[in-house]
Amino acid sequence: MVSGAQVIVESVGFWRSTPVASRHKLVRVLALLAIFLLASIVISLWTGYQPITWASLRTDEMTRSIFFRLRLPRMMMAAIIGATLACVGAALQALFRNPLAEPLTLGVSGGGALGASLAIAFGWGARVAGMPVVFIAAFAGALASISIVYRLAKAGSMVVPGSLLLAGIVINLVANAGVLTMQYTVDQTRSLQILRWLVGALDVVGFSVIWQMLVFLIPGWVVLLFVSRDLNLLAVDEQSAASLGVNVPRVERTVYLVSSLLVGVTVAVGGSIGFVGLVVPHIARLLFGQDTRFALPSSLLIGASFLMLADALARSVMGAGELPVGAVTAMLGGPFFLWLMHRQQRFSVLQ
Amino acid sequence: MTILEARNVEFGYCPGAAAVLSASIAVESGTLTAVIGSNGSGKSTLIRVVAGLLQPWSGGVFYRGRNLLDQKPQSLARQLAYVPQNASIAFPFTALEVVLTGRAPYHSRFQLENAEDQRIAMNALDQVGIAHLAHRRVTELSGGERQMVTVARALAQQPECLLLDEPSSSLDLKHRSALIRLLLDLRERKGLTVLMITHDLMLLEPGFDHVFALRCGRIAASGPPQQVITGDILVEVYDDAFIRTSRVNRQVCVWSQVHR
Repeated sequence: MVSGAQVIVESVGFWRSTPVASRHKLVRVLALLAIFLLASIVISLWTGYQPITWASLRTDEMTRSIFFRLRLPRMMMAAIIGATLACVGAALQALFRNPLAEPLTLGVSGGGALGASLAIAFGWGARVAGMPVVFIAAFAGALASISIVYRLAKAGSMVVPGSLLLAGIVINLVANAGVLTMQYTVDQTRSLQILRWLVGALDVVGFSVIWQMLVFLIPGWVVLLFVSRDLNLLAVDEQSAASLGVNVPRVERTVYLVSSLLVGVTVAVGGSIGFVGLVVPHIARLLFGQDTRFALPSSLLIGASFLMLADALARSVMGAGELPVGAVTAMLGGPFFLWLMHRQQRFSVLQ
Repeated sequence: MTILEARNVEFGYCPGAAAVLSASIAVESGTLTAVIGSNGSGKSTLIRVVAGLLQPWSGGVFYRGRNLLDQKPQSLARQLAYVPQNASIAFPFTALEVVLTGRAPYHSRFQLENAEDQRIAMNALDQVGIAHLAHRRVTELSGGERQMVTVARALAQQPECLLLDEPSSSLDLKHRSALIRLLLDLRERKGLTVLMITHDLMLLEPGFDHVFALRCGRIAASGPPQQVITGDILVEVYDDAFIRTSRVNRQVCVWSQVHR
């Protein structure tokens, strides 16, 4: 069976032709992705209900305001959230040796959303220290759910792949029910705020939230890139990784903490946007091979492009209105997930 | 010289239920040592404690006289390699990529493998006889082939001491012997030390220098194969009165009678 994905892979086979990791290849991969990222930025900035031209941007105050206060921050928001979810997905897939793992299927997003909406419901976000408090609450929720999922899926010294996903999905459902309950019980304005978390939306005005997010996100990205070698050894085999000198418990703890922080922060702002963390690492591995040391940084860049383009689509398909970006990624990612699951049956990953 | 030693190690997976009880083993440098015993006798647990993957409740493991806990994992990994029993690989890495991970202890975390590493990895694949599978995905290989990939990965580590957990369990007759020939050859040429769990009692003699027999987490017998692979001892170790042995031309034959 020749699928579309395979055709794409064959046509860029050149990029995979080097059989082993080399610095040369890494540079080429990152350069290619940087070009793709730039293209996505241009498409994203120029897509929207209000057409923007160079001339109007220079002269018209209204257009400038739309561009700098709305479109540019929104593009950046899509980019950093997409990048974050994708690299967390790549890390979690390698850590659990499970190609179906991602923040949504492991319940991390759900837990984060519950934490964030609790903070909103109690009005913490508006008072004490603003957004960072919501971030911390989401981080705590995400961390709580990943530890519950991990405990449930762990049998002796191994993690049962089927239980991992089942536990994750159930935690996610329960968390969503919690968010819904809160949405019904709190007052109107907060209710609307909470509704966002259920699907995921990227509307943002100005840059202040983005800077606040980056304070948490950039260190998280750096830590994940730092452990990408260890994650690659873990993706091959946990016991071998331990015998190769990887401190497995420490890497596990690090990835849990950092993933929860990263997902918590993105969920607190953008809601649980699903499937980015699932689809993007697979695209990265299809294009550049299995090596996590390539897949992780590539996912970061592809994730940014992916969510920018998905958001551009969400903003343009309905004319003046717009779709929540979470709906677009779910419609693209859901079928992909099913296809992947079907393919994985052969390797009996879901034992 | 004793290169690897476990002194009175105890370990269990649940509190109060030890899988290995006060076991002491010593492996001499440049020798081939086998660990035998029935299923669930604690062989794999013991070798994982010895490899430093599990921390013993009490007792200690010493490599060249130094406790494993006091050694840096990365430098230890250059000397001590471990082949797990069944490495199930979820992602379609190529065989060469898997073998190349054996080079990780020789690099810092941001270094990628170079041409020399690739040569070593290809050589390791060639030694176990699967160089032709280098660019095949491990998810598409047979169980035996995958087992050889894991052995090649450990060889690429260029260790002084190799620990193997039933490396031949899914190999055919030819490859079982070929693996032991390879280990003998590496001992000859490189002075490799081997500690291997096995159920192939007939392949230990001649070649292996020492055998430890485990029963219910304790060392039940220890000595050269000529002394341990005997009817009397095996009947006790495997708790099976129907085990028979016979020796023909330096080769030992072991079986358990089916028809009583």
